[in-house]
Amino acid sequence: MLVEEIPKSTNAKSSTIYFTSTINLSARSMNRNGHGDDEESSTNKKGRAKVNYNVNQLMNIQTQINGASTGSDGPLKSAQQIQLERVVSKRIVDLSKESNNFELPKNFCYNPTHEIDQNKRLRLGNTPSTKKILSARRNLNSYFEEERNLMSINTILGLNYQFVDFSEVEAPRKKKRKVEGRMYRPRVRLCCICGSTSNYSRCHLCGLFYCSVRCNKFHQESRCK
Amino acid sequence: MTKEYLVVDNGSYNIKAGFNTGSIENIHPIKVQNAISKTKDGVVHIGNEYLNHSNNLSGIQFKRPYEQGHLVSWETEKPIWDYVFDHVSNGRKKIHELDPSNTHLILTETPFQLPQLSSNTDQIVFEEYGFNEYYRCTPASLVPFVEFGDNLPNKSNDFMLVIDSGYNSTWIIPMIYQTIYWEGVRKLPIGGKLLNGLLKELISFRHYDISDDPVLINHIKEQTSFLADDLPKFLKEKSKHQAEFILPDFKTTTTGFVRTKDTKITPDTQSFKLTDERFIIPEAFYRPELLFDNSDIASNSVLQNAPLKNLTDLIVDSIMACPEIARPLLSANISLVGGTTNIENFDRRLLSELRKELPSNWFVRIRQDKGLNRDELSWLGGIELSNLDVLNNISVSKKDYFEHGANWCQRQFGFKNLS
Repeated sequence: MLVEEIPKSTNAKSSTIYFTSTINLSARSMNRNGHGDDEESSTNKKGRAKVNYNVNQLMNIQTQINGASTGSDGPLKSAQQIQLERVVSKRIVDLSKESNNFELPKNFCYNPTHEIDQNKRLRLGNTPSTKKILSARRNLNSYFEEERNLMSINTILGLNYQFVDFSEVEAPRKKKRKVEGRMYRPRVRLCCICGSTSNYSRCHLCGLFYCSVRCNKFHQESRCK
Repeated sequence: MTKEYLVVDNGSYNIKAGFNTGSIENIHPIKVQNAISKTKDGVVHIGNEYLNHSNNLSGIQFKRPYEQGHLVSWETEKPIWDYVFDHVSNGRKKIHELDPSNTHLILTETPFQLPQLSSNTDQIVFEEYGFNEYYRCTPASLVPFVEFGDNLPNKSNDFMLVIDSGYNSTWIIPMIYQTIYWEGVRKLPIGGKLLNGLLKELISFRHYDISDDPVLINHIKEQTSFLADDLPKFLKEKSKHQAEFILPDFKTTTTGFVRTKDTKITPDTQSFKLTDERFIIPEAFYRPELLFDNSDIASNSVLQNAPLKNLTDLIVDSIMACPEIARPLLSANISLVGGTTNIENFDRRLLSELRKELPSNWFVRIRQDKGLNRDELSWLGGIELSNLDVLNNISVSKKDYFEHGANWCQRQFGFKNLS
């Protein structure tokens, strides 16, 4: 296995998560400059150096560059935030699933219905590099893994979580009152059966809302697991 | 032969493509589904082909070249592009076919695309198709070039807040003097695809299981959804907003439609009545908790306590991240782009929400043009850009590309806030 998560308990702060990796060695130099102390290098069986990445540090480097204009600094990602992002992204991926995926037939290409000049006919892969791109069949994660610039990955992935962000609530700010006012906007509570507004708290088993005894009963039979 | 300008807005749902024909009156791009689909009988279709193949689209599977908004899969995109280029020149039979070596391509891609994927695009454009000149940018950055036909005083496109809500996600992009102000860019990962997913869950729970019919779900959303002006009030009187949706029977209708007074109902007509489903789904823009509440993660305590920002909060964030002097100018020049902004009442609701959040002496205004289709705006901006001389300064030619290579090309277009 190339990447493994080291249990949190082995390192002091609960808010830091470490990854060990034998890939992406080129990114090491970037990390080393300010934070050499925390980085442990060891050699594994095959003789390849292992690098431990502190996700928090990577994020902080990132914010120091991007956040310079906003003036906010300090630790970025708490354990809470990371957990939240994991839950949110899983749900978003679930919702975005349109249909089952299928594999394209081999050498699949577009065949125009009308006559075209045979010489002009587009071939698949004119040069070695485009041939490689056109037959890659890779998914997004494999591109992310290959990307050496960890900062650009963090920027891109971070964009998805701009709408769920603990950091702003925790960090002291000048306009605190305004931020708080927006943060504590009451959430709408909708019955999971009929969709009306619910005045009760969540079901203690499944966390869904219900609006009446009837709907509660119904939800226990159907949605409550 | 004179140089041709081709503009391709490569959206994650539709590709909008068309030539600059000289006039900008009444020109429209061709729209092709950016997907390869497979119907239940196992036949594989490119782009819009599936529409001619069968009436019964249940069980259709889509394979899209996009993954989370990134153009990943070129083995999928290439046949679709071939299809698009074939059709875009087919419509102009009398002139000639698309000749890439004599064509300037303006192509759009998502903001913050992974650099390697952008580089793949460049390589395909130059090495596979051999376009002579090329300019790549985000769809939003083409919007300021659109001539809005609104008769407003002080109309200028120097400051613009583009809200691009497409199939994959919603981007909020401040444009200052026709360039993107990257510090102010915000993203809300809610788009048409996500709304479809929500609607699918809701209808499948309450009415019929339509989860294997993505085309029908999308159609129901387009036909019935709207944004409520005031959610609690609408929820109380939701029966007022009831619409009965007639499901396709493949004799009188193949897509399904909303029942009107004149619709004749036969005993075997299948339909269901939509009430709060109509406005609860798009409400997710303003109450993102709706995405999570009716799911198995609803009991997650971190999520329950999480501060969620809605579309308005992100827009205010975005405006506040811009230089102070530009802020009121941005709020007064909001432009809505993308297919999801076509949801009924999207503009009015956004205006009223923004007025509550922004200082009262700021002008909040959405730039409108009745004649312009919101999902074609970026494409139209590209056409207008191709009339300007400035395009020559920002484009990359095939000669330059082969001299300097793909990495150099990437640097010409790539987002630069990381250096």
